[in-house]
Amino acid sequence: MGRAIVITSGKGGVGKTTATANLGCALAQLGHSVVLVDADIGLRNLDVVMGLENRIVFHLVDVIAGRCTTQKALIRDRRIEKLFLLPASQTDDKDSVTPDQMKALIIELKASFDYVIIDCPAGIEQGFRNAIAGADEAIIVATPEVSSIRDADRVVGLLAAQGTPTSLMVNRISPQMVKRGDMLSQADVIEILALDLVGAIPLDDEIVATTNRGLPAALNGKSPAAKAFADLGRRVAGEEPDPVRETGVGFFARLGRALGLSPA
Amino acid sequence: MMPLTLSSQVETDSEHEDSSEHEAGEEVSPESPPVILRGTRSGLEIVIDASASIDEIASELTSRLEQSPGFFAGNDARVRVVGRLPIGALSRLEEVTGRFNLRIIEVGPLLPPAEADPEPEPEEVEEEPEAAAPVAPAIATAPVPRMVIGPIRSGVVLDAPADLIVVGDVNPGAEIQARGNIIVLGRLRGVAHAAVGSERGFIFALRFEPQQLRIGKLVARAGESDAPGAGAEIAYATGRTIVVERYQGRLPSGLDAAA
Repeated sequence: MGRAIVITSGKGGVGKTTATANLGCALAQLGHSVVLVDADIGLRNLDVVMGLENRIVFHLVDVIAGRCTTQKALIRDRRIEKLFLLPASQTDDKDSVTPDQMKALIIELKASFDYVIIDCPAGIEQGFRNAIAGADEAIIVATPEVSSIRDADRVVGLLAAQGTPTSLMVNRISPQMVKRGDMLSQADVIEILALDLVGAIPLDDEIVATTNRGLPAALNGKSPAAKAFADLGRRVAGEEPDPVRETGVGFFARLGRALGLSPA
Repeated sequence: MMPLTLSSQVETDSEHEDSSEHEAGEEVSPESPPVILRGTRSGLEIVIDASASIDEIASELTSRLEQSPGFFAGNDARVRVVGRLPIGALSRLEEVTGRFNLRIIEVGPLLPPAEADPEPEPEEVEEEPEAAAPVAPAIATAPVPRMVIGPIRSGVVLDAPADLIVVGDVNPGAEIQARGNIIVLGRLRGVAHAAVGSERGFIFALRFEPQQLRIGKLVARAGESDAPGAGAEIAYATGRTIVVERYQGRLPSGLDAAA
């Protein structure tokens, strides 16, 4: 039985889909079998980020409606072994699926995969409820901005209410800005959200470029963000990642401390 | 002079210091007389043992009130009953209290724990009637505080019927309310409303960075310039403003005086 992890944030545009794609790649590179589930029905784009858009024939709503088997709707990523995508429908809306149906689907997927990574839509409405329904655990994606943290806090509360263990990934940290005092550090984010940190992803132009090309950064693993995503994958898989290098003044040292303290 | 039902039920035992004077005959002793008068912070209480006959109760009440007839005039009183009052007893009582120009505003059972032992009575028996009539109810301490483990996250609303203790942070976007006082053993960054439906109450936090503070009907908004204090602070109402000051290890004198 695999683990179902939902990637959520409350606020839109903080990097849920990118994080889902890259975490999926990172876990698959470690040799685990992974299926990515796009729960953003009506506004799908995990397929775009993965570069699998033009291979979609069936989608999640088809599976739930019984129009095809689950197996048929899964798209295999040819770049890595054991990485699959279950795309969302672009023509339905969030109400075409119920949390119970999602739960049943995720349980089915967990039987054949090590990891089921669910990309949650923004918001806390039906789409969110569907996405978290089948998840065993959640990773909150937050950027070091007050609005993102506020929404994340709300979502953590909702997840806690249904008993889902939650950890934190801080996205788009700019070490230079943190150093200048212009940006919240991930320590500040952790302080407010009171969650264990599983990943800290630096702001990296490479992410934008690779996302647009449909080639997740974690696949070739050169840029700082790609390395951070690889570390995230290892932490999620329960391995201890390499000690974080002491470059940038104070920033990486603090990162190392923060991660060292977390039991992840 | 609108005392509140809420705070009436309790005699806090937190204030033993200022209660050295005991008035003879007003203590609850083992073989209690059928009627006991006592002052509480929320006003005069008439404790009645309903096992006595109504005539006994009425005459006892009369004789007690006669001891200082002018003193009670114009005040409100609460009746606390041990046992069950016989039918018609209340109108007899009202008739007696009416003669002394004393108004019964509430009738209820005597609450068990605090009343059992002799209660030192607070400074009810001052000369002027004004003192006996509580202008503001005491700090509305209710019997069972509610303790909640934080962090209290954005979007969560906590509502406590009595005092509220939060162990952990109250995050921005969260709202905590209590009919009594609020104690936050962590950072207060959301909205806190103490003394809901009342006037007196305080908000304590190890670190004050609230979006908004409300005490009773007063509202204070965090100013942009207010740097958070270094340590524990306490907020309370004085007159028509909310004051936040450093916590000095005891309740501020303003709150003491109200008690």
